[in-house]
Amino acid sequence: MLIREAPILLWGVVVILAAVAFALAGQALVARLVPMHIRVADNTALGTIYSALYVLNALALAFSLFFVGSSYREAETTTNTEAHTVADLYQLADQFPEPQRHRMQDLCRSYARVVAEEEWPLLGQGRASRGSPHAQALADELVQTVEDFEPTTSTQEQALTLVQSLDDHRELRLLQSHQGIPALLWIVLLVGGVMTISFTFFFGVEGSWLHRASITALTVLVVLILYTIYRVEYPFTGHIQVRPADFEAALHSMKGE
Amino acid sequence: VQGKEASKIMRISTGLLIVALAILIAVGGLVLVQRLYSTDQRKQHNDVAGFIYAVLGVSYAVLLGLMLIAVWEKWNAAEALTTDEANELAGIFWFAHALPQPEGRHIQELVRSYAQVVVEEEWPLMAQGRSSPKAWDTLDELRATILGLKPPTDAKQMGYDQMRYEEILVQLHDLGNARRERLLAAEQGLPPILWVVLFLGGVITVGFTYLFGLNNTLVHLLMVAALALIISMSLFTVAALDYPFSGDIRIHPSAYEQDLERFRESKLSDL
Repeated sequence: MLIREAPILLWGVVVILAAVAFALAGQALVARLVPMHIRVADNTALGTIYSALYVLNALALAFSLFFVGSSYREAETTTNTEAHTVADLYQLADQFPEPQRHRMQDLCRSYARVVAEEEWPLLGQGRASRGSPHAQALADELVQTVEDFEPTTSTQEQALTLVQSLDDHRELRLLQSHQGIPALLWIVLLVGGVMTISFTFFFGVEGSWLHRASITALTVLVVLILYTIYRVEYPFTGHIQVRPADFEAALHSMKGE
Repeated sequence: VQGKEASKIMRISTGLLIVALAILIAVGGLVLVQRLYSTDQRKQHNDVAGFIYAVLGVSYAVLLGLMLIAVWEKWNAAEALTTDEANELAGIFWFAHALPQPEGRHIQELVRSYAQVVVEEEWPLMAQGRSSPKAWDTLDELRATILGLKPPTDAKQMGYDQMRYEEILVQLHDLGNARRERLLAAEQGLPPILWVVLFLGGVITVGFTYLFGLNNTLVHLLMVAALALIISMSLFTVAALDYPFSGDIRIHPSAYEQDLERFRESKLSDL
């Protein structure tokens, strides 16, 4: 959690540099322990065995990044829909008699404000995160106000659908806020990454700068992908996150009237 | 029975044991082969063995990599299912408030006891791939009560009540679907034949590397151990994520607990 809050570029550079340093140290150690002529002789066989390892790891890494990216987009869509539903409900409240109209509009405004200001920092804090109890209470009250009212026109009936959709998207957003990569899969990705990099230490390359350069390149790429997955994993946490801009826009449109 | 075994396998301690055992067997196998056939003997065939291994190893790696991602998706889908089901449940609860009494109250009671039974009884049972008969009974009673509601007759209220009635039917239907899919996700893992392929494939992928002759036996041992580690770990992860409601790593019924809490505090509650 700590790194997730930290500046993205700085930590990215630190993590990558640390990984490269470890990789080069490992390579130097292996180079000292296993003589060059033995390593060169084993290159072909080793390279073949290596293929099984790197294909497994490359696939897992690539797909994890892909899926984390698509969950991020889903979280954006959920947020957008929820914010629009609140704004629509506010508009629809005009079709209601007093005191419901006032009550609904007040609740819509407060809900958008509380979500944007109070709930957003709480999202994704721990697996059992239920967001802000205040926002939940406002949402419940909005549901109750609409459900309690006996509508007489079909426009008023629409509020019922909207309020259900608001509830659904709220739940979906809370779910998405803590749905990341399962811990076990993280272990596989990390151990796999370490293996993929350390396997290369055992290759024999004449001209050790070439060996070091290729190990550095591989390490940078693998760590960069892992780091990106880590930063994007929880769509509402850290520096790369879905911002409550949609709710702020909704709030703005509601105040404008 | 299969589910019960599965829940035992999915302990973290069992996982560590499996990984350790896999590494031990893989390394032991290589030591044995090394004794029986000298490195020079095996070295002659390194080229041809390499061509074959490239196909074999990569095919298995692709299969295992995709399985990892597939079970992760299944896990996420299972978690979303529990949220769906809890959502429908809450929706029915709110709707029931507007129904004439005593039916509305009765429906709310049933919804609440359903959530309770799911959290308290069904969740432990799901770890063994089973469902709670009491939860089925409660759902049946809920269905019977809702379907037994008198269709609205008052002409003035007709439109709205009709809509409310239809909405509650849709939610009831979705609730049943989410429940069925949740139980299916709890009891149905990958087909056994796929497990055979995954397991045998892993053994062959590790075992085939014995055929290579390497000058440095220590490096060979390290490679084999690394391969056995990553494959056994991936296989355990596939097994653990494939049963999202069993073992140490599983989905919790927090969505239903949240429902129960909301029912307790809601002003729409008639209980």
